[in-house]
This record gives sequence, structure tokens and C-alpha cells, in this order.
Amino acid sequence: MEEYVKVSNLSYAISSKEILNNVSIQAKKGQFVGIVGPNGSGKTTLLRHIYRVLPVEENQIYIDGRDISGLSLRDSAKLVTVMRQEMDFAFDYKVLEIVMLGRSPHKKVYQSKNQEDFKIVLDALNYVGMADYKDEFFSNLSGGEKQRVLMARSLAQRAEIFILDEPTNHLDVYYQWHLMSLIKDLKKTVISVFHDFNLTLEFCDYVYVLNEGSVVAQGEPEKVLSVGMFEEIFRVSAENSKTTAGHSRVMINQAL
Amino acid sequence: MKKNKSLLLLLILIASLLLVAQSVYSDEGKAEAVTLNVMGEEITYEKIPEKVVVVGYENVENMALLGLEDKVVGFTPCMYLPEHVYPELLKKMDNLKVLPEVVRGVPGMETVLAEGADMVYGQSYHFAEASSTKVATLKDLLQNNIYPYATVGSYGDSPDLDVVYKELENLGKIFRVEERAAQEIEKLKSKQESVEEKLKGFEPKTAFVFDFQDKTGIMTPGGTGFQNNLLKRAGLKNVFDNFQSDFDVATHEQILLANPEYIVFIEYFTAGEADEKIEYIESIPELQGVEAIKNKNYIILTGIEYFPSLHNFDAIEKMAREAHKDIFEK
Amino acid sequence: MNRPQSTSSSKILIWSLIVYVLLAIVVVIAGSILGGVKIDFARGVQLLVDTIFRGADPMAQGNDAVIMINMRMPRMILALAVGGGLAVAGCAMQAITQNVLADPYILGLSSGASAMVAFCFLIFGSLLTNPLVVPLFAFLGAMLAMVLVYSLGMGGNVSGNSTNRLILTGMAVALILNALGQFIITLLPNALEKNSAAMWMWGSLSSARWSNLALPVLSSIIVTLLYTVISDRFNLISLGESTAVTLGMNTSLMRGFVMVTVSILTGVLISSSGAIGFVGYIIPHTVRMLFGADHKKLFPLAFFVGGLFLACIEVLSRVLLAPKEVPIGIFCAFFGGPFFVYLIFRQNKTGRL
Repeated sequence: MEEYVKVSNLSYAISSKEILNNVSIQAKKGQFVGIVGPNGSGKTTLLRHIYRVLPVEENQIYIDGRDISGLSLRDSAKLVTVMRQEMDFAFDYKVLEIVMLGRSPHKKVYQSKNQEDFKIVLDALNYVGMADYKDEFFSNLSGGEKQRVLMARSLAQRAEIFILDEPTNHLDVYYQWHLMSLIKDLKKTVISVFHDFNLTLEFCDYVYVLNEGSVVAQGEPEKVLSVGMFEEIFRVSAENSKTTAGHSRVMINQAL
Repeated sequence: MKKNKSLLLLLILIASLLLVAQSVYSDEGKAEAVTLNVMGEEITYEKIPEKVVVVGYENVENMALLGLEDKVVGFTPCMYLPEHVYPELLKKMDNLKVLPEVVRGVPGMETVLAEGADMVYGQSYHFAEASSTKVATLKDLLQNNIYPYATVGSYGDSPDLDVVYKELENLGKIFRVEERAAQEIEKLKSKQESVEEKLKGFEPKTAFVFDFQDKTGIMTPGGTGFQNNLLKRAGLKNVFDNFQSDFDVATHEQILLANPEYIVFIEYFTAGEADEKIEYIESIPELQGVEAIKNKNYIILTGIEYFPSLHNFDAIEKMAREAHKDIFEK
Repeated sequence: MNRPQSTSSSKILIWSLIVYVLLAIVVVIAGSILGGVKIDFARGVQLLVDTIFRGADPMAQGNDAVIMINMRMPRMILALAVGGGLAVAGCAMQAITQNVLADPYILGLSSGASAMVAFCFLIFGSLLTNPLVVPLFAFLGAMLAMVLVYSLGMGGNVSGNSTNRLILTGMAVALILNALGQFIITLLPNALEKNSAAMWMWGSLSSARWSNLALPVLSSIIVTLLYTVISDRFNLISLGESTAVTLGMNTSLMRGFVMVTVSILTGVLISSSGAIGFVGYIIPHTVRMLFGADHKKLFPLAFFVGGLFLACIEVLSRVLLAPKEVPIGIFCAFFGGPFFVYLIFRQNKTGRL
């Protein structure tokens, strides 16, 4: 399979401080790719380039063979959706309205919502189990419920590529695992940042390890996430292990 | 000889016919339109106005002086008090309606319309577009077939005392009472002459005018306004005649430096206003050394005396008497 | 079940349009009859009927007709336009800055206008007789502020700081132009001019005549319609710059477009009536609280409510202390203060502004 998403030698610096140094990553279509690394390694900055909050130059990022620097923001939004932590909006929108905004990339400026849009939105809400809340105010929901709504919005966007910029860090363990499995079941191309090794092991098909702005390792999660990596890059003493149900997991001893 | 006599008789006959014809015509009051330049606009007074809204006691006085008080449908005092008006003219105003004010001292356009007025007589800033004491704009009035007239002395370059005469002359033209106007002008002129006669050849004294208190100092007339000329004719030199405007604010420092020999206080809206102003200026420590304050050389003028009006010549005499006691007591 | 939202939205809009038109008619009639000079109600209605339905000329019907129809009616209509326009501009500014404290003047428009009006007094003195001069200067002042804010404040990258940059630039320009205006006022030699310059900016609808209504009325209506058509974009950008970008919006284009249109609309409104405050801030908030934040409903409803609100205040300002007239901006300020207090209470209770 060809690379569906390709980042090629991306560098980025802010006032002479280098944040990314010639980073290259790829994701195949349908692959669940994880990006891990300690704080300050540039993970979020990398993602921001892909979802275009940071400007991209020519020959840096390709999606389905197309250089995204030549795409309008609208067209990019049809290909890439982002899930981030968005807890506080300045205004009180209803759940339905929030999810409906996911249809924006597909509507022209003056077009209004039609029947098809409503169907897509309701399907998305059903998938995340929030259909009953469609007329609730977003601000009245719990953290987990809010994130499910945002996931519905991403679903309504009908984009092939899901970028996850730490959307579940602040949520409880149930939501962290539940939402991730909902996303996995979509079988879309996913690029996600992780802090939790176990989530990485469970959900990722492929992993990149970033440290100080460079890719220091890549490969299948079980192979990459090993003792040497833990000590050198993550500065913790940890061990690989398996649960009684057969899942590979990591156990942490202590910070070094 | 007979031929010459008949010719002479004929000439006399024709002459008298012409004279009669001319007087018949002029007495007809067949009002030809009068055109005056008001604030830069040419206003044509086609008919003699019958219902005039007047702003300001000084203007009502002008109307009363010319026997036109019956034409005043209503007025507002502007910034003057009835006590400041000549008693004999005040009497004529007994039956006149005082109009409600939309902003201090001034009636609004609605009132003008409600009174069915055909003319508004006020000062220039009562007609200016963005003025905060506007009665109505020239445009609004003309659109509603109401004649505006602004006191000559309230606009223009460095107006002198002759604006008072011009004012009466203009009113005479508008109301077709030119002869009466001419008479009153003559009376005023002789008053002016007699006062100025006494002041010939004497050195002017320096004076500062305390108009009113402002945030940064005291408002006083500059060198280009009517008030400056008023002082000059009274034998007083305005210490701030170097100010390039009709009014400006003088700081305490400037007053101290100028060290005027006399201070003129103006009384407007309320009785006792002048005394308050005196109290105020005496309470300023840094001005204690000013000559006028040390010697309590104070002159009090009413607002009406201070702005173009019939009172200006009395004002000149009042100021002159105070400042040049030596001359007048001779 | 498939189109619940859009039908209820359209229903609300249609009903509110009907209610608005009815209330607007009532308010305009009331405001024409009430005022400093008393006009008998029956006579007032008679005059209206004669003028509207029989084409009678007010000037031929007597001075009370002139007062009612040529002076008060245009004021009421201007109130509807200015109140509506400012409310809509306020909604737009709040969406663009994602901040409920924004109003149409945060980008310095009123400061620019007042500085240029003061400058106009300085050049021409206070004895202007041409009615077009001061409004023109006010509009130019607003445009000056817009150009300054646009050129200084439109940069910045998306991840968080472009909105802030815009707000800070607006504040800076407002402060500078404010100071400049105040400075020019101190240069004005005449107390009358100083007072006139200050009073002009407080806002007044008294210069409204049939001949100068077209521009403010049309501008408000056109901008309201325009914003309603692209209301989706406002919903998007109100969620935040980054979110809007991820959903495909060119945020700098949107910001620029809104800035220019708000500036022109507000400039036109300021030049016709001075800078009337608080409407652009209170009304968006109130309408949002009552009807929700969706801009598709927000813009038209803000236009309706804002217009009716200002029209009522206009009548109050002429009736309360009749025949004296209190500048309408001062009245609005009376409402603004308690409103802020109410917001504080609400925040204490519900934790949200």
C-alpha cells in the first residue's frame, strides 16, 4: 500500500529554537499510527502542521499523493479531521449545532443545511451514543460526554484521516479506552499522540518515537517500546509484560 | 412773462405730483424683498415677519426698542437675567410668552414649529449644525419657510461696536421700520460719542476679564472678538489680546504674569454669580499678588452688557468710570 | 424527525419578523405623537392617515404635522436602523473575537470618529452651516481607525494569538485616537466648541430627516441580511480560530471581511447619530440568552430587538424630561451599568458569563 499521509523532512523553529528537525513520518491508508515522546519532543507541533494550524510549505506534507500546501483549507478539512481538547466555548451552543458544524467543509458559504446533513449528524451522534442529548447545551455536559460530541463532529466531517491531539488526557480511564476503541473501529487512517504506553500498545499499528525534534525510532509498538527506549528517552525504569488475557502491556517501576 | 410763469407752475405741479407719488409708494409698505447675508448664507426676507421666536433678552430688547414687541410670539432668556434688562423695555415684555427650553436657555425646533413662527432671531451658535445649543439649523428653518436671523456681532472677524448699529439697521430693513431704526441709532451714537469724548488722550489701564471658570484655567476674551474691542473703547487694555481667538482659557500662571490692574467679572444666569467668581479668584493663593486683587479693583458686568446689545455703551461708561475715576471725578 | 432544527429556526424567524413589524409600527407611531410639544392622539392618528394614505403634504397640514411627520418619525426610523445595526455589529465582533465583552467600538471606530469630529471643529469652528461636514469627518475617522487596525493587527499565526493581536491592536488604536481627540478638544479655543464636540459624540438622533435616512437604513438592513446568509461561518469562527481552521475556514479572510463590513456599517451609523454605546454590547448578549447562540437566528433577532430597544429609549429620552432632551447615549449608559451588575450576579450563580 502506498503512503496515504506523508510528512517529508519537516523542520520548524521559533526564534532560533529548533522544535522539529527534518522529521519524516508516513501513514498507510487505514493504519493507526502513534506518535510518542517526552514533553517538548515536538509531537504536537508536528500534528499542527498536518492539520494546518501551522503554515506548511511546498514539498513538506502529502495526502493521497497531493501536496497539501496547494490545497485550500476547505479541501484539507474534507480530508483531515482533528480531535482535540475543546472544553470551553465562549458561547452556548447545543449539541446538535456543534456536530452540525462538522458539515461546514462540505457546504458553500451561502448553502444551508439539508436533509442529508441532518442524517449524517444524527448517525454520528448515534455512533458515539449521544443522540439523546442533541438538544442539550454543550456546556452542561461532562468531560467525557463533551469529547464524544466532538468525536461525532469529526465523524460528521466524513474525513478519511483522524488526527488525535491528546483529546482524552483529561478524561477518566473508561473514556480513554472507550473512545479510542470507538475510533479504532472506524478503520480510518489515524495519527495520534500518546502519553500512555498501554494505549499505544493496544491500538497502534505503527509507532514513531520523537525526541528533541527528531524521529529516534519507528516500527511496530511491541518492538519499539522496549526497556532501552524507556530508560534512554523516557527516563523511567519499566518492563514489558503480558496480561492474563494476552495483551502486551508496560509496567513502570519508577522515574530515573 | 406769462409763458415763464406757466412753465414754472407746470414744473411745480409735476414736482409735487412726483413727490406725492413717491410718498404714496413708500407708505404703501409694498414690501420689496430684503436680502441679507446671514452667516455666509444669502437670506431673502420676502414678507415682513409676524411671529418671531427670539432667543436672548438682548435681542428681545432690540425688538422692543423698535416697537416690534407685538411681533414676538415667544422667547427664551438665553444666558441673561430679566434684572439685567432696561426696566422700560422689560415692561414692554410683560405680555410676552417665555418658551420651554430644550437645552439651557434655548428653545427647540419643535417649539418653534408649535408656535407657528415665521422667523427665529438668535445668535450664530443657535443655528450652527453641530452646536450643543442649537435651536435649529438654517436648512431646517428654510425648508419650513421660517426666516433665520443671527446677531451680526456673534460671528465674523473681530466685530466692533458698530455691530450694534448694524443690528438695528438690519432689523429696520427686515421689519420695514428703517426710520425708527435710524432714530435709535442716532441716539446711541451720541451716547457713544459723549463717553468716548471724555476718554480722549488718556492711557489705557490693563484689565483681565473673568468670563467663567474652566478645567484648566479661566475663560477670557482673546484679541479677535467683540469683547476685546469693548474693552478697548472703555480705555482698558485686555491683557490677553495676544490670544489669537475670540475666547480662550488663561492659566493662573499667565494671569499672574500679566498682572492686570483691573478685573472684570461677568454675571450671567444667576444673581450673585459675579460675587462667587470674586470669591473664587481671591481664594487662589498664587494670585494673591496680582495688582487687581491686592487693590480689589473689580468691575462687574452683566452678560447682556458683555455681548453685543444696547447696553454696550453703558458698559463702556461703567468700565471707564471705574478704571479712570480720576478723569470722571473732575 | 429529519428536519427538526431548520423548521423551528425558520418558524421563529418568520414569527419574529411579523411581531417586529407590528411592534415597529406601534413604536414609530407612539414616538411620533409623544414628545416635548404635545399632540393630541386623535389628531395625530388623523394626520398620519392623511399623510400616508392620501399623500397629503405635512407642511400643508399645520406645524404639528411637520413636527410629527418631518421631525419625529424620521428619528424613530433612524432609531430602529441604528439600534438594529449596532446590535448586529456587536454580534459579529463578539463572534470574531470569541469574547462576550466585545462591541462594535473595540477596534477604535468611535475613537477615530470623535478625533476627526474634534479636528473638524478645530478647522471650521463651531459655526458650520453645512450639514454634511461633521458626518463626513466622523465617517472618515472611523475609516482611519479601521485602516490602522487592519494594517497593524491582521497578522499573527493561527495557533491562538491572531485574535488577541487584533483585540490588542484595536485597544491600542482606540487609546491613541481617544487621546488625540481629547488633545484636539483642549486646543479648541471656545468653550462652546469644546462642549459641542463632546456632546456630539454622546449620540443623538435629532438630526434625522427623511432626506438622510436612506444610507443608515439600507446599510443596517443589507449587513444584517448578508451576515444572516453566512451565519454558519460566524458559528464556526466563534468556536475559536484553531477549530475554525480545522473545519476548513480561511480565518484571516473571515476576520478581514468582518472587520471591513463592521467598520463601514458602524462608520455610517456613527456619522448619522454619534457614538451610541451599550446597544452593541447588551443586545447580542440578551438575545443569545433568550434565543440561543446560533447566528442564523441571532443576527435577525438582534436587529429586531436592538432596533425596538433603541426606539423605546429614544421616546423615553424625549418624554421623561420634556421639553428638555437628554442625549440618547447617556440614557443607554444608564441601562448599561445595571446590566453589567446583572452579569456579575449571573456569573456568581451559574459560573458562566
